[in-house]
Amino acid sequence: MKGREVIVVGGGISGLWAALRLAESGHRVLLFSLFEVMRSHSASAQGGINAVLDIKGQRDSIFQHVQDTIKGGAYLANQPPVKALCEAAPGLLHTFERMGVMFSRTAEGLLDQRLFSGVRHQRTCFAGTSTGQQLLYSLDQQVRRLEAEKRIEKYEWWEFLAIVKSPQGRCCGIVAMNLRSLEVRPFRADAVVLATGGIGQLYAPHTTCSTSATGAAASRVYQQGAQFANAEFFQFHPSAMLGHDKTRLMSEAVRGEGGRVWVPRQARDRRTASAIPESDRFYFLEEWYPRYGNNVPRDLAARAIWKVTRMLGLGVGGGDRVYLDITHLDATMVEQRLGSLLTLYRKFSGIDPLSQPMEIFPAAHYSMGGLWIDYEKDASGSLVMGSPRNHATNIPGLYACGECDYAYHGANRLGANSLLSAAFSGRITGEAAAAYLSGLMQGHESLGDQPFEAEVRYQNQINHHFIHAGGDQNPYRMHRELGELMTTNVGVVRDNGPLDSSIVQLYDLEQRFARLHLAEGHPWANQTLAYARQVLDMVKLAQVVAVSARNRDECRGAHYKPAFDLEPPPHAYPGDAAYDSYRKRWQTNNTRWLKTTIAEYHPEGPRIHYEPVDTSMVAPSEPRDYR
Amino acid sequence: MTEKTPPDDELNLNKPVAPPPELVDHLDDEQREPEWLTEATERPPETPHIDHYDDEDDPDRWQESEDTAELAANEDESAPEHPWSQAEHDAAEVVQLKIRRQDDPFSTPYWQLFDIPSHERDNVLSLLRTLREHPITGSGERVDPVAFEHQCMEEVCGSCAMLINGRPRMACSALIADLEQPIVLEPLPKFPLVRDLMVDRSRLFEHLKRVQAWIHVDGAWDIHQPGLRIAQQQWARDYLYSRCMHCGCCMAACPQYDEHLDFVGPATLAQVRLMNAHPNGRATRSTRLHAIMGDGGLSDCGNAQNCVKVCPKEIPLTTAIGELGRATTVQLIKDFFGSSEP
Repeated sequence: MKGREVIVVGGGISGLWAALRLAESGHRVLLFSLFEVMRSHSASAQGGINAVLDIKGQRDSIFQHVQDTIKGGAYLANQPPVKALCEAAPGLLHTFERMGVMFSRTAEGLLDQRLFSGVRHQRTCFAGTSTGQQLLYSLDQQVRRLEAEKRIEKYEWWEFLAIVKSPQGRCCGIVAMNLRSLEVRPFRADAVVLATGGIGQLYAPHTTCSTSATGAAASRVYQQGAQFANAEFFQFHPSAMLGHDKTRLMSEAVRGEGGRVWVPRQARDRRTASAIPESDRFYFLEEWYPRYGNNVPRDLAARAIWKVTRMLGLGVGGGDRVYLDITHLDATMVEQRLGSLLTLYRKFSGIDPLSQPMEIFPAAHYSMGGLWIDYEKDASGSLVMGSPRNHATNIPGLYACGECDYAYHGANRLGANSLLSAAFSGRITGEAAAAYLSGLMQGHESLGDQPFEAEVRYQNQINHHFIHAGGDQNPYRMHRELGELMTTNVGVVRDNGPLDSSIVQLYDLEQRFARLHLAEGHPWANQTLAYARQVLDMVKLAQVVAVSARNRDECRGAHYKPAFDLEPPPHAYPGDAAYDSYRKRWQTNNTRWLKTTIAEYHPEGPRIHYEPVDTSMVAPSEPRDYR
Repeated sequence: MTEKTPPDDELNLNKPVAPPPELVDHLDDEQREPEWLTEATERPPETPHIDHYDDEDDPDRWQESEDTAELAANEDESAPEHPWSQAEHDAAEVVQLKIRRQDDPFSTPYWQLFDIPSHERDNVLSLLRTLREHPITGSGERVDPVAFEHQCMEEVCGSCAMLINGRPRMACSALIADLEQPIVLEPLPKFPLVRDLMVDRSRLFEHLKRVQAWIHVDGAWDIHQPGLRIAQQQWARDYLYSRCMHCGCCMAACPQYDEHLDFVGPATLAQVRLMNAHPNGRATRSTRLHAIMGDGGLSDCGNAQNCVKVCPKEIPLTTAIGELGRATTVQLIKDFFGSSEP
């Protein structure tokens, strides 16, 4: 049968792709978003989207893309979905082209490609430095066309609060709140797709993420029984501007185009950057990683900057900052290929990066972890396209895609793979949910109103409590405390002592919601109410991140605990005895820790268990080594 | 699949904690009248509506209106509550914001003054974010936090457009150091007000539907062939328009654009220009041209050129309008002679 109701929550690249594919399969799509969908955080992605087109004659191959992605993620990603991702990339790129995305061009009028980190091929297509914005808008336009044809119905300014389950545990709809009237209302559907993005606001204000990247929606379904995987793997982007309201992203494209990272060799060198001669400059990434130089994967670059500033004390002016230098590059080229990013830096710092090096520091950026999702592979180990199991969470009828799933990036994401995974996962989730819908014998009609009414009542009670709680705890201040706590204790470098104490502090923070003081009782467009509810759910999710991090006693990708570090021996390479014994230790560690962390909700705190990783394509035999 | 490997002692890290807040228990509590519900705010008359944005004047200058003086006179002189910690005050310069507030679409607008500690390189948005933590007026009165929209804080999402010292612009990129004080904030005109500095911009998206600002693809599936080539020069021209974030600044500044008028506005026209230039969009360009040839279309532009002056992304909106003028003329001739070519 055809034409069932399906709900998509989230209007970024992933959600719009899912909505498009579902509508094209003949289902009626209800698209929910906190704001007009084009405001979504996808718009902030700058650098580009990976696809093997081999425009530059470098003998790039799909297999190389698969291998780079898997190794970049320290082997933690299940490999069949990664293979499908890389195989689909060129076709996706051409579909975006058809939809009118203004990709940058070579002199021949072909798609141009540039270098990104963790790879040695120019594989990244881009539209100036506003690639995410362009991709998002092209989908926004397609969705608007289907909206005009009444095949998609948008609910903008509605916040997702909960799913509604049938007595059998099947997801049969959602409850959402109108952000203006504060009306809490049920919406029925036969399947729900969550495409609600990342969790960078857990680290605010030290994050490149938009204010909507709270993870509240993912947290809400987690509290309703959805499993959350690999929460401890959170990416810190090496190059973000300094700022106390927000640390704005300076794309990795800057380094891909030839930007160099350095600090003065002398601690607290008081000369201006331009007065420091080459010999007194410490290009630490190039010295420590001669093969990849400034283009090492983000986890390594972020840690190197950490080491230089916090341990060697070589930060510019003794502080948390290093130079990102493009002053040696051709101004016309840079302006053409990085234009809007330079404008951004000029506007917010008042400094022209063409005349003075930019000042940067790592900031919270992207969550590799997310809602656990399934996939189906065939006998050859490839993903079965169109299988209803793809991107299905452990709750039947609930799907997840985009940054809020955990599937493609393992322990560390490579640059320009996020726009790719957002688009790809949205597309195949739309197809998977469509397959699920066509296999349903019975829809939500058979379910009475009782579970919907009960959920609405419960959500209204929360609102009532929040508005009337007469305590002394300000939600904005609690959010800042959360951000500081996470940045300090669950950040770039982690230790079990501070992790233990942060787990206790997070529970304490949660308890303080009983003493909330909203300071706003207005019944119309009350932003503080929606915000306070998000902060509570962020605290719940932060507990998952902290507990997952505490439990994993090893270093893998973005999760770094110095106490368990397995560094490759300096000056030893494959073939040397010292390296071979290092490889042995690394492999032994894999037998213990190469597994997916899965967190399940429990009122007293997350319960953790593990699941094996599918490594059927690229065996984890060689450690990552970018030296 | 699931492997419950590590023994329990290893995993039992969850510190014993009290159960989560029992939300329902509080519902029966006797509710005290919340202090924030008390009505105490002076409501000066509405300021004159800005119908025409005149760039001849200093754009950042705020005309001191009578109600500012009146408001100042009404302020409570008696020992205001100190809203900021001493540390915050010491660290920063204090900036004065004058905000036009309105509780809902049907109530009367009023002004409030706020003194907010500001750091170097702060912008209007960061001050509004600071303010929501301490929504206390200059006279020490606790009020509802100011409602405003924001999202990316780096001028790409288009959310935080408002009138700042009379000029439509993005709050995130309006640096305090460049603004005359008191900094006057008002909601973006020409759009229905929601609350305080929030407006409803859904009209923008209705305009885009009206002109069919999309490329009509058969479906979002792979067709196993690359797209058509685009020369770098053409790319450079078209790319400018693809960065329009639909913030509404150009419409707020346009004398021809209004809630009650038909005109689709400069940003919408620029999208027609963009779609018609794309190799795949060309096939349906006459549909888009016809959509802007009637009422509310191109001929409603009064050539005030305000749009191009306020566009935060410096999009050459008037160039687009000029190009569309020529294209519609050609289309008109084609229509007259019944040309079959699109």
